[in-house]
Amino acid sequence: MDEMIKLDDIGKTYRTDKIETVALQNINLDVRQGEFISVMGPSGCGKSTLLNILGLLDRPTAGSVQVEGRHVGKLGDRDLARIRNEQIGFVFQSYHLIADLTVVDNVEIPLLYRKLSGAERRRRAVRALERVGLASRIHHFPTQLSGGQQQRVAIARAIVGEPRLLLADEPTGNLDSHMGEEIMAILEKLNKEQETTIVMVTHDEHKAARTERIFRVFDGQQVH
Amino acid sequence: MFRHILKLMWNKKRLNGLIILEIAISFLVVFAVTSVGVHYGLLYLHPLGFEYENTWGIRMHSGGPWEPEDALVVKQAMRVVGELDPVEDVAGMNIAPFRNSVWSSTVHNGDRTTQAMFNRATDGLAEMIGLQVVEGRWFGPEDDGLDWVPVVIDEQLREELFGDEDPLGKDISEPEDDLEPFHPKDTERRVVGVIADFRQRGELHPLRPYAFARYELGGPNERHMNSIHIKVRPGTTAAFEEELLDTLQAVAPTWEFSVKPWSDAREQMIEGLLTPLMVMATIAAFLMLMVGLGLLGVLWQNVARRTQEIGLRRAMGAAARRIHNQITGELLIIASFGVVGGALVAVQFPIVGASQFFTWETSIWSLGVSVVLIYLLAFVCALYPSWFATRIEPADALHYE
Amino acid sequence: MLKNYVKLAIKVLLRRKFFTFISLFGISFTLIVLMVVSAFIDHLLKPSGPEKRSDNFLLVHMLILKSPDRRSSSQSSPGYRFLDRHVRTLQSAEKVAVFSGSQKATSFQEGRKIVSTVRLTDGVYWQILDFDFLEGAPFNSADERDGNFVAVISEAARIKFFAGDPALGRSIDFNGQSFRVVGVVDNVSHLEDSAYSEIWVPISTSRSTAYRHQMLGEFDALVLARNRDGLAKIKEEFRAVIESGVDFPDPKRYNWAMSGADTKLERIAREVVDDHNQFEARTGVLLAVVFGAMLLFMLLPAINLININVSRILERSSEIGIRKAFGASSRTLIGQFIVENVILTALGGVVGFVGSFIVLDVVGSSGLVPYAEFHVNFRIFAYGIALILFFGVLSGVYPAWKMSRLHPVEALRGRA
Repeated sequence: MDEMIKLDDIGKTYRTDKIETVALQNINLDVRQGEFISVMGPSGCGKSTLLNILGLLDRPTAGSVQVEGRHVGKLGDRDLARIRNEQIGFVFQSYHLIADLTVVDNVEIPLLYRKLSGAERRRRAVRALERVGLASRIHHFPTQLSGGQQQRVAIARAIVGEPRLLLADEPTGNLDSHMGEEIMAILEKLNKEQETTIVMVTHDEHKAARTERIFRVFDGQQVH
Repeated sequence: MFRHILKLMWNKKRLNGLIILEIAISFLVVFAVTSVGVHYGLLYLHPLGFEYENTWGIRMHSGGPWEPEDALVVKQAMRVVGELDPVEDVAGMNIAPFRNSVWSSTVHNGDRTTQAMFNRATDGLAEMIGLQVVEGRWFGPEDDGLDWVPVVIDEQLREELFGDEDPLGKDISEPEDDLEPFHPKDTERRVVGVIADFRQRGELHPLRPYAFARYELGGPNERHMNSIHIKVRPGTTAAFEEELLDTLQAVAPTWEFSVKPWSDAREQMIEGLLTPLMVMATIAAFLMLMVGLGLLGVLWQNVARRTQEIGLRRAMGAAARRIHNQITGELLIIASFGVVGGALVAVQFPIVGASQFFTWETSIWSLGVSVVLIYLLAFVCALYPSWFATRIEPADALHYE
Repeated sequence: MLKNYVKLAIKVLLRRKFFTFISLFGISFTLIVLMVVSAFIDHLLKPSGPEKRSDNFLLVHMLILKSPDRRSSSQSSPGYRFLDRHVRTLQSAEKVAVFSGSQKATSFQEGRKIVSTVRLTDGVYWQILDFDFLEGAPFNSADERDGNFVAVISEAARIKFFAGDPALGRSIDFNGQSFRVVGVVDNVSHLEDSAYSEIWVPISTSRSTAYRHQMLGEFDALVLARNRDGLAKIKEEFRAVIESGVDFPDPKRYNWAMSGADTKLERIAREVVDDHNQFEARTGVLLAVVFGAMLLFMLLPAINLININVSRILERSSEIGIRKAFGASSRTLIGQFIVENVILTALGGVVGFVGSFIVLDVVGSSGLVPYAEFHVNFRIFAYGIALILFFGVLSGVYPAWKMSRLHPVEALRGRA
């Protein structure tokens, strides 16, 4: 299998005024295509920072990032944006749905940044919602849905662009066990059927155990 | 993208409604001020029809009602003044230009009638002030001793009264001349020539059909001539006025004379009309500044509240430029609603025809200018907030948990 | 408790400096323009110079004459004959003054041309208008009768002609005539349009006596009433004269007349609304237009302030939710917002107040209206502040109150 993402000796240090915070140090991570891995570690250990770097939302202060064999360190904002748009999907713990838009409009957002007609966007969004089982709620507003439903909308949004990599930051963190199960099932189905590479940050051992590999982080460093 | 923004904003219509109202009212304020400005601007573009440089007007009156013998005093005054060194030319014109004095009368051509402004002039006026004769001729000695009054009309009057017909030789008075009912004879007024449009009141007053009636400088004349005008050599200073007045006073010690250069009268008239406009424009400018600052603040506030949404969009693959355009686009769309609303109200003014400032001609321009200005204002207000939005780091924004 | 609110309010306002600045600019700008416009109107309608008794004045300034067939008409200021015969004779008037409009006086001093304003007046003029004499005294009806060549000049004229030195007894020449200065007065604002001038001389010094026989000319008459009720009586009497008692010199030429005796406001209305064919001026139309314009003008800053306030409150929604969650009652929350609004309005008021003085000073000295002195009207200022406070409460405190009644979670979500 080819490499999807390769992190080489990644470090991330935040500098604010006179305080220096080291979030990550000497991280090496290869994620192969089609893998479903978890990233685990206690709060504040840098998991989310790692996810941000994987998702090209943040640049490391040390080390290099390669996406499908290409170094992305030198790429400009526009190129990074395009890669995010076409290759990567995000699911967040607090859903981050736009309250003033309907469900289907929320799901369409990634497609807005591609050259598609309005009708085509609508078609794909509805199809993504069907895949997460929410086709009957496309004209509702997020506040009219339960937590689990909102997270499913977020997943639909993450996959509507058919990305190769899905990054999920504690996707079941705000949900009860029953809904959490549903979400895991959807993710597993995506991984198996679409061969989507999934990196999931979690602190739930049970959830992590269901994935192929666990990458542990402690105090910003890899734990072997 | 456009429809997406529309949907986004429609769902927040209550908040946006007030901003739209503010923009609509701003549009109306700008429209009102630019309408007045355009009105004067358009008028200014038309040619004056005569030259005013180095020309001085001398108002003269005996202090009492006109006597026919007074014409001899006028003739004498003109002769004496014409002999003074700096004076290049002298002519009589009853109503001086750049004053709001209007003497109008009805003129006739068969079934057609129209109202025309009238004035009286001597033979020398046309050459002195550069009147352009386009048809026929100006007055001359051949007109002495006639039993009808020669009249020269301007092109606007010719157009309104005669259309395609030939005006020369036609009588424009009506059987009962209503200009001066107490002068029963000399009622026939025949056209001998046509000049370019003459704008007695200056560049800022609307054009009106105009006609000059000939004033015969011979013996006593029942008609009055209240002012004469001189063309002075370029460079003549105001000091000459004293000599001029002394000379005139010597001709008729009991008469009152006053001198006013045409350029002074013109400046006064322009200042009088434009000062209120300047004041209005200054207030409007400050209002726009206030509105602009308000919009800037509100929009900035709006962006600051939406950091999560913006961070999310960046995560979804929106480049910084797209975010910038989205924020600016949102304000421009809101502005559009305001502009349309304001324009709908504004357009009622030319429809109703409330005043000379709101005709279709001026409104085409002022609507256009107002639209451009309001969009410009919105665009400038959106610059900082849009830039601010692009500075939002998605990583930070999404970490709000 | 109040001190805490104030301290907190100031901290909040400082934290969002730009917003505070915008709100202050909006408030003070509104107040400044309100003050300047009302000072102008005040000055126009309630003069403080020689026309200070204008509440009891009526002005006859317009006369229309029509021919028997009504096709020919002439309109201008009244002539001396008309005023002498039909206005000076009004029984219900306390005093009547006849005077000319302002005219141009040209003088030459050492080759330098000096242009001034001159007015011809009778003796009663000085009894109705209350001038401030810096030197000497006015001329009187005896001077007018005898045709004495005396003049009263303004301070500005004294500077122009005599470089500011005492002018009493000296001679002043213009329009080819020579006069002896008998009085010097304080400058008069251009807006007091019956009183302003730089030189005043008796009517009888005119070069010819022809003015005495003119129905139409360049004169006005000021009629002084005993009191406010007297105004109505004078109007009634004058109207009766106009309708049936006018003595026409040449009835074949003109046999119909229309005029009016107007207060200051009516005079402006007559000029602006442009209908000269009736006795009563249409002040209603003028007032409607002016109020309409002012309303529209005030609307813009008002909405601007509302927008800014709403925006400010929305930003604080999470703060409200959190404080509520930590036990703050609605009353404390609202109390704090009210204090914030009051402080903001007070600050804006101070800036607006100072700004008004500055702007009025600049306008006064700019010569836009020569010799005018504008004063800030405190009552209008108080109304302005009250209005702004009202809008502040409506747009800021009211939404905040609604938000403070919500469940904290709702507030934290930012639903207003």
